Amino acid sequence: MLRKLLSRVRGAFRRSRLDEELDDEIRGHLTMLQERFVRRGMDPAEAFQAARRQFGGATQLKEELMERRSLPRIDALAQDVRHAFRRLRRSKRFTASAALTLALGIGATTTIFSIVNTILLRPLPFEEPDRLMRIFVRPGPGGGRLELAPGKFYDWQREAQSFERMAMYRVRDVALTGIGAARTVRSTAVGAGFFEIVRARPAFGRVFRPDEDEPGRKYVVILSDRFWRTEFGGSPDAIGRTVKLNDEAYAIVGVMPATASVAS
Amino acid sequence: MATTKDRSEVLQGTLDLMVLKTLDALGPLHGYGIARRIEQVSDDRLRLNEGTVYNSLLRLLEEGWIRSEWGTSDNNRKAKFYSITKTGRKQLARETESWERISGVIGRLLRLGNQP
Repeated sequence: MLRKLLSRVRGAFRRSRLDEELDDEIRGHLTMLQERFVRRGMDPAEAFQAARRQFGGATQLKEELMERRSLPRIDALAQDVRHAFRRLRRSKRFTASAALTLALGIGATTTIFSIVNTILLRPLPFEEPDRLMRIFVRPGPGGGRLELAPGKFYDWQREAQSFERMAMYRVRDVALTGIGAARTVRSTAVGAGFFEIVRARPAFGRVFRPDEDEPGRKYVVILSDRFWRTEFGGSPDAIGRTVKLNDEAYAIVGVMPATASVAS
Repeated sequence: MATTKDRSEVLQGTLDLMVLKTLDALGPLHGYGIARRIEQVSDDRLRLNEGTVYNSLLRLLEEGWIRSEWGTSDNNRKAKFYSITKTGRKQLARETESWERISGVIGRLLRLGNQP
């Protein structure tokens, strides 16, 4: 019982990570089933449907799993509390010592929780992370993420009522040439408003200007602290110089602090 | 292939036992592997919604009868592998005994002729 409760308490905190893991598992399972049906001669679309049928309702499964992982229902808890209260009123001395023990215990727990909260549970390295949302498109339960069409994004940005602002980002690998040997580096292309949304400030230089993501503008880039140190020896002269990414020249306008990390 | 009419639903509560036994017999497996094994053994006479395997895995994890670990599958895909624990083996022995007892009783009951 205690193990179950602990597992659920942990589950409640780790839920989003577990959900992603479960998503991965289910997706992997569906893909393997689909491949199996293809090997047996179905065309891919038919095989996809057959895989879904054989798997059963993925959404329903997820809901049930979340239910199992969540904490016991509040009304059940209230019932337990009422029952406990009646029992405690009958034996006053026991109640006094139990209450003292609990008070000490709760004191310790609160301290530990405060520490844990700062170290482990704070979710994103941004200010007010609870107001940040990541939006992506899926074809349906169990499907992979789809590439977002920019036109669709601009529609959302214009029409959505529930968000203060939106910006696009896309992680991609680009070819870096001109500094040492040509190689692939990880980059994140972001819309101009991105830095304002995550409230990230550069270590020096500047972030992108609001109109810099419009077509026809000069290409600009902000370096990570690590790239700046390894490729430019941590020199402030880096600002204003250019790097060649996918054979296009990008002017360096800023360098992020070491603590900054762009979502990958 | 057997028609739908010939295939039985998985009996409530027996899937956990099947999953435990599969992990005991074959060692670490991912959810897909478990579903394939049950399908193979059942010789197509069992109708299994493969999603329910994950419900069962979660129940067993919660009880501490199995543990999970990320690994790489045969075709180089990242997959979560499940293996039976020591307490899981004990539970399997208990469940097996209980299942044999119950199915024995039901078998005897069903074989009894009509009493005059």
